[in-house]
Amino acid sequence: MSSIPLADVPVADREDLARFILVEKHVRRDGSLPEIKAVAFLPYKHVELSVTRHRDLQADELWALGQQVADMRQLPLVGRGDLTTNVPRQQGLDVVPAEGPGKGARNHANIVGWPSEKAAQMVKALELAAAAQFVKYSQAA
Amino acid sequence: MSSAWAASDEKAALRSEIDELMMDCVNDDWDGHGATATSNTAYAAAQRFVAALPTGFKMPEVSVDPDGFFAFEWRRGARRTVLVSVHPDFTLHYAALVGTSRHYGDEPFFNRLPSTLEKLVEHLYSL
Repeated sequence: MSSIPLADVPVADREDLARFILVEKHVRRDGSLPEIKAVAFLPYKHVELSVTRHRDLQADELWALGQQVADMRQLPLVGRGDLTTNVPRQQGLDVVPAEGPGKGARNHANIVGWPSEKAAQMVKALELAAAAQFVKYSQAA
Repeated sequence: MSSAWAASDEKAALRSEIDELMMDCVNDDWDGHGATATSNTAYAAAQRFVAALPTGFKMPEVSVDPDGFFAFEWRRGARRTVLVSVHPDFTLHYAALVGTSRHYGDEPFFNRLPSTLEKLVEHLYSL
């Protein structure tokens, strides 16, 4: 993992982002699409959605950050939803570097620019869910 | 072509899922991202919504939103979906992707499924 700070490095359109999934029921296990339910992409309580930039991370390092998040919340790490930055941007949202907790602080980012009306948030969450790729967590990863 | 009108009544199973979710999400931060716990009023609103689904209507999936309210989703694919969030203030917030078209808005809910939503779901299953 690089130690160069990312807080001042804008998030590029092609950067990959991860939304860690800590609730088993947020994932569809019957093979139907989208695999991750839209409710996992709804912003709350602040009108922003916390994500992790893949940038400069090996797969095991990315999973370690997810495990850290899960451990802090005392929830199981189920997997992650991956999407590229241009997906939220195509929905009129933006992705900005942000302060984060613990070792993941360097790669933390927020999806921002959400409308305040819930229905308008929901349609954007549906779009993110439709584009996201679910990656299941495996202890051996 | 499938229909929005299912042959059998699956409301009992849906109610059972709501009960299970109510238990799963009884504490704040149940999703690890700061979610609010479900409440008795949210639970009652969800049960009213299920009761309002017309007999034989296709049953949706149920989830809990991070604000602690119950959400129902009819879905035939990633871009064929209708999502409805049920708030105890007698409001339904909805969003839908139906092919390339998008729909969203709010509808008052007084124990009858609004025709806007009934038509959206029927359209979803008519494609």
